[in-house]
Amino acid sequence: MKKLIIYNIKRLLPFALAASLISVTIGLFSVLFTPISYFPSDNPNYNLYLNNFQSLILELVIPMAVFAILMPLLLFGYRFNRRKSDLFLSAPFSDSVYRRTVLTIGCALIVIGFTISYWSCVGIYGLRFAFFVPERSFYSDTISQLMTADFSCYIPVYFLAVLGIVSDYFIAAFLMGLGQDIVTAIFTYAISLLGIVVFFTAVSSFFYASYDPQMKIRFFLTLGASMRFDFVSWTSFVRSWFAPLFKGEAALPLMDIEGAGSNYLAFFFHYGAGVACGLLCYLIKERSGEWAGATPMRNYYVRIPFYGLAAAGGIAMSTLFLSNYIFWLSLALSLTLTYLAIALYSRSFKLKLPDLLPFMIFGGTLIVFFIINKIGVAMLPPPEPVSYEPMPYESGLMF
Amino acid sequence: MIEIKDLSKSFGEVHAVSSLSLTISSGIAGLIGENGAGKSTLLRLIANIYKQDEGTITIDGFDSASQQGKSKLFLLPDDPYVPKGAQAKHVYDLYNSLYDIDKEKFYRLLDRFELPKDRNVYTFSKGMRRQFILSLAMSVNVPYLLLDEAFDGIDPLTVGLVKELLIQEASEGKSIVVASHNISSLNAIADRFIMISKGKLGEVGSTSDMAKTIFKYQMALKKPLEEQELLDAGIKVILYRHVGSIIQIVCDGEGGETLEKVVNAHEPIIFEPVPVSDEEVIEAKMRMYRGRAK
Repeated sequence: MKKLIIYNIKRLLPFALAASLISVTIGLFSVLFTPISYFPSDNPNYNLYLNNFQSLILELVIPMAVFAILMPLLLFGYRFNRRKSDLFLSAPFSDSVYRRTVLTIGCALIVIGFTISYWSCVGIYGLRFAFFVPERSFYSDTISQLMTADFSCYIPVYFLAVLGIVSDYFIAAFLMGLGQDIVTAIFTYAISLLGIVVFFTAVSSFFYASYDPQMKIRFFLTLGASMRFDFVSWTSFVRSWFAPLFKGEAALPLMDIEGAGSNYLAFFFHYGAGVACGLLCYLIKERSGEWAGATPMRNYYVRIPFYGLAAAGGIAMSTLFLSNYIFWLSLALSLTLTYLAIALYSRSFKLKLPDLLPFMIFGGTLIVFFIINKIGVAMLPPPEPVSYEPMPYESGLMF
Repeated sequence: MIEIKDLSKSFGEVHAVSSLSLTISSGIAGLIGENGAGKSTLLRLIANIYKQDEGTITIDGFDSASQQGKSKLFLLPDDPYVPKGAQAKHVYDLYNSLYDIDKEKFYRLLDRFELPKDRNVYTFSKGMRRQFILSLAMSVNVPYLLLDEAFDGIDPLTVGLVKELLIQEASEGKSIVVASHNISSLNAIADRFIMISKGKLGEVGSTSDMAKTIFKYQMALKKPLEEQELLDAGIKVILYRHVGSIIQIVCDGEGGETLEKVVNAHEPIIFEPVPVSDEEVIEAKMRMYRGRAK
């Protein structure tokens, strides 16, 4: 086991180092170019500057998050190739131990890489503040308190970011692990994310189906989009809600369900999905080697995201049913995407009878949910007129 | 000892292995069968690469999926993994991260095969790559070696060395299962054969055991004799061939008076039993079991 761990660390270390280096570089840009001013008379919006830095420093998670998302391709290579699968599945470890070990090594490398990048940047920021900021001569108790609050904020933000990156990693590991080769692994991941967005967009649209179309579109862009399985959802949460909360004054208005609520949900949704996928990655038994190199459609696990996407697409379409050109555009897009996905997964452009199942699921859910939608909307009380006020973050004020 | 009980594995509608029970003990066993018989599948099931649908496999009493079980064997597949651009030391590093490998022995065997150590293994010919990976397999410290297509692509001169090394390994206490279509090479080293056909176990034993029921005759007849006539008479003909004007038949069972009667009716000039070679015994048995499976 020790030899296995050392070998895999040596194998993955160059990638982790590259991602960390990019992270540090991006972080350093934030450190060096963020204005620092705690002097209230010069800068009444001083908290905004602090938030800016915290927002910017979160940018350094992007390379690590991208690395975390791509890492499963490096780890699960053995499942995508018959020759590798023969070697690693017959290796002298109990069932699934090899997979769990490499998953843990990958996770540890990501966390270590991010920890070094993050604290290096915060440390350099602290040095810059301590030695190069002229306003330090104006320190007062209030400013000290603000500084303490500011710097103490980096600890929870760090943990949230680590949790976020690790969630990205396990979500990607689970979804890509369903694939049969690199192409289908990436595609499975992508269509799963798309399915999630479409699903939540559709669900949110149900609640607001009686509101004006503008509201519906806005939901498409906010709630649905923020429910994604990717790092944008949790970083936006941390950026727009958590960090300002520590300061108080600049916190996002929480009374708005669309703004704070969706971010709040996205946060738990993302981390919840991360925990669930992590558990699945560790607990599910290693799949049989017969699937390595086999046609993806033969593996029924691969079909799950397909059917899920088809169902989500059907639900989403049901809220738009025949209402406008978006319906027909979406319909064409959904059918084309489903067909291309089937062609990719079955490695043939010819459709066979079992391949029609996703289309049937799509059509079935479309009709069923259209009926449910119409009944549900008919039962709702007449809506109050709603006026659209842009959120502070939508106006660009917060970023 | 590897004990397999009622093992079954299907791929969709294809029954690759059906209710197979088998015991593999010390020495060298030759695993034989026609293409698609289920040899590679059986080896992959033992090595826990494939999960069986039914049945159990134990290795020295441990489940084949357990660490104790898996750490006792090494499978060399027909097309083993070698990292791209890797030299001997890279391949050693990879395999050594998973198995306990005797490094000195590995390099010694590479020398015996006269293989370069600092060359990209991918630039080796197929036979050289096979020799390379066989060197690695024989250096793994495990009591059971499963070799799929061990002689594939190796030239006749080097096959001799491979046979010598495998016999040496077996004499040191390793149990080796060699799946191959190279019957003559297998026959030189195997102390018993495991014959499978269409996923079912045909027979297990040495060629001399198998030869007990196999008989070969040659005859020259004035009147032509067709195979069907023999079959109609109840003779279990496995092989029927013309060699010039001589007819050779290999039968399951002696044939006895019935065979004599049929042959006599065709005015024999020559009719005599001849010894059956080991290869012919194997071929005959393979045909027999394939016929039964059909």
